[in-house]
Amino acid sequence: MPPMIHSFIALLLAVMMVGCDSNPPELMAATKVFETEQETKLHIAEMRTDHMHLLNHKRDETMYSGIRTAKHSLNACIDCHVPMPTAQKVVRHTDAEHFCATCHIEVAVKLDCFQCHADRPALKTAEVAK
Amino acid sequence: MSATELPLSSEQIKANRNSKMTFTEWQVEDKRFYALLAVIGLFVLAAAIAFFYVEHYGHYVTGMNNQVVWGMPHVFAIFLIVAASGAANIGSLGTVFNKKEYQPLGRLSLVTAMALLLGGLAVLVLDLGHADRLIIAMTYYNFKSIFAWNIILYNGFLVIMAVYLWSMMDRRKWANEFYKPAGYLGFIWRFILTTGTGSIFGFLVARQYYDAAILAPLFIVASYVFGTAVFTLALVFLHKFSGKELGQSIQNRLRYTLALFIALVLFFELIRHATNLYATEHHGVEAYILSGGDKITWLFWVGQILLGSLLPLVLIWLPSLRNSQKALLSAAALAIFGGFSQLYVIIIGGQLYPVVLFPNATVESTFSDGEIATYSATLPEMVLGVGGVALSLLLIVVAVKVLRLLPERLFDE
Amino acid sequence: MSNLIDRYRRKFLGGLGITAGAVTLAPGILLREVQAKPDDEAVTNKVRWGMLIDTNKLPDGGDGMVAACKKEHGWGDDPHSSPTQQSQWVRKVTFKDKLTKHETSLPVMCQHCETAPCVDVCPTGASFKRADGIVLVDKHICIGCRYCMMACPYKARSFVHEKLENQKPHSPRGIGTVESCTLCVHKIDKGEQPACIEAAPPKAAVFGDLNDPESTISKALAKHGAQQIRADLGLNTGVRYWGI
Ligand code: SF4
Ligand code: SF4
Repeated sequence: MPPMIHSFIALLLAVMMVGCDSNPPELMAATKVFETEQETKLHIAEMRTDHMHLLNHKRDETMYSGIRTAKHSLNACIDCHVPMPTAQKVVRHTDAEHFCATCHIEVAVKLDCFQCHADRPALKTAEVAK
Repeated sequence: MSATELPLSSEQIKANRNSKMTFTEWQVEDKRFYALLAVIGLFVLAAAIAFFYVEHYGHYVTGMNNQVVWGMPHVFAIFLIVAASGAANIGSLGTVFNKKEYQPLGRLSLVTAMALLLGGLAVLVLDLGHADRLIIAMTYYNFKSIFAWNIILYNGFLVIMAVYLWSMMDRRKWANEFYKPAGYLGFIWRFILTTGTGSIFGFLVARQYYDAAILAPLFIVASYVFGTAVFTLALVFLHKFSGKELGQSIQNRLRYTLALFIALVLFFELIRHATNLYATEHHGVEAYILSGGDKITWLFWVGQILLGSLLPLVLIWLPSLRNSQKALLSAAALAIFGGFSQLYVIIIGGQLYPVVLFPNATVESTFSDGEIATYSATLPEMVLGVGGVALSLLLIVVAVKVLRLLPERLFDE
Repeated sequence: MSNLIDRYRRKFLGGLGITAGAVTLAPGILLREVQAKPDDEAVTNKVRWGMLIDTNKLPDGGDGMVAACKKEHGWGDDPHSSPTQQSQWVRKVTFKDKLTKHETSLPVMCQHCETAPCVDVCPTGASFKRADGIVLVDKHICIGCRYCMMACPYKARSFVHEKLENQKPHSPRGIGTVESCTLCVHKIDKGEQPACIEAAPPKAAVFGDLNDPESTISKALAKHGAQQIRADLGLNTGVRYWGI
């Protein structure tokens, strides 16, 4: 039944996105690119409608079964979509330009993930930056 | 709005006249009513602000910490929940034990019970670290958890009481058929509910002061004290505020119910402490509570025992005060104060005493091992707790205003 | 009565740990012993992780292990929380026997109980035990009721009292939820050892599979036994000690 709730929320989001004029706001560029245009398009389409569903599914797999592959892992998303913090600039989930925040602000959906999860990549530089 | 304005069929009017009891809404001037509502509403509003404040900043603005994890909100919440079960007792007396004198008060009793439970639950829920995840508490259940059971017990209580109340109020015949079954079910449910609430603590092996099966029956008898005391105050208040006469005989009945259960609570407390004193492993915590010398000891001896139990007993049984309403009201108020003291001692006192990791050794650490912890509630906690009480009162007052819950006449025949 | 016997036994074994100087934990071979599980494979109950700490070999009483845990998970310095509101995933406890006056210090963290009271009482099932015996909080469904904290006999759990920033990506922690030692589950899943074990002095602590009779920890336990804190509660803890 929890998955039901999640799919419901996902559906709701999808409906909202379609319902509003569906051009999403300009998002910050990812650091990696797919090899083909095709893959990129698929990724975008899938994530736009399903990212919460996939993340929730993955979260339970990781939490309860210790499955830690990069696919659909929140940390992996962040590593690619949010720029590495530097001494000059740290992009946080509270900034409108943060990859997740941009859309979530646009559609006014509260972002809870980052109450606990890191909102930016963690490499040595991240430590230095803070 | 008076009863006569309502379109009643001649048949219903006849039925009303024939039955011994007729009920009315609370007949109080609008101005007074709204003024009262505003005052109570202010407290509820303050609690809402306190909730958002804690929700926004986090629990560091409270006095609770990682040693004393449950604080003042829980004292209030558990008081209200336990009192709810006791307040429904008046209804049970009328239905299950067929005591005619209590039957006119059945409706008010059930509404008071529901209101108290809702007030208590509100405080409990609003103190959660994630009150926003209430939906999770309702959809994910771990059936080994007493807490999860309690969620079901509380919801069930509200449903049963609602059906019970409806079966009292609906004059159609088939509704009346639910009256007895609902009454019996409610009576049993109340026992399970208070047992469940007592068991929240009774099964905790971790803390020396809990972990005793006797906490469940103690909570049951205490529920009668809290519930009767709250009900008495509510009943007298509702009558006084609308300038209506209240019979002496019903007051005397409440008086003796109260006294009986205060005495029973004292008896159970005696057994509990005596058994604790018998077991060596509990000596430390007993010594701390009974003679540790800090706030908890005072609350126990002066708050719970002297002011909360002995004084009310005196007020009730002193011959010269037999028909004094003031004495009854003071006794009820003191019993409520005693109840809060009792729960504070159990809930907070039980946590102030350190968790015992190494018996037979003196222990120390960077985090309250081997020493008595400290706790004092901060303003938001107090306001939240008081807001729960206010919410209960608000619900009662609104309910009696819009529903016919009060008997037309409650003076001696 | 049985309680008493248990206590004597504990003391006796404690003595054993001290006198039998030859009894040592050999961490040298450990790194190869804890196998990395493939990332996409679910954990199973064939394994039960546990650790054994020799308090006689901790000159600092465990301070180093505590510090390593703080560094790994980033708890203990939340800006607004008072000292008793700070998280305490692991703390150094010192106790002195009333009769012998012998003093012992040890790090106390979640003991990863087999029959964990925290798991039993949690209303939503957020407290759970993973198949391999690690007790965790699923913070996604923790409502912050703190009942598990009331139930834990080791006071091993902490509530996060304020909004946090700069959490470690491998160790999410956040406001309004309860947390405790994860046994460094993120490292274990990669085939590494918990941070506190890595930081412990040589031969003072060993981590491994309690279900595997050939593991160093099982062999040490089979040969010399070990003590649990509050063994009288019968929780069959995954963390065992020598010298308490
Ligand atoms: S030590 Fe405490 S938190 Fe850890 S498993 Fe046991 S009861 Fe749960
Ligand atoms: S605080 Fe969280 S983990 Fe602990 S009992 Fe409550 S819901 Fe479960």
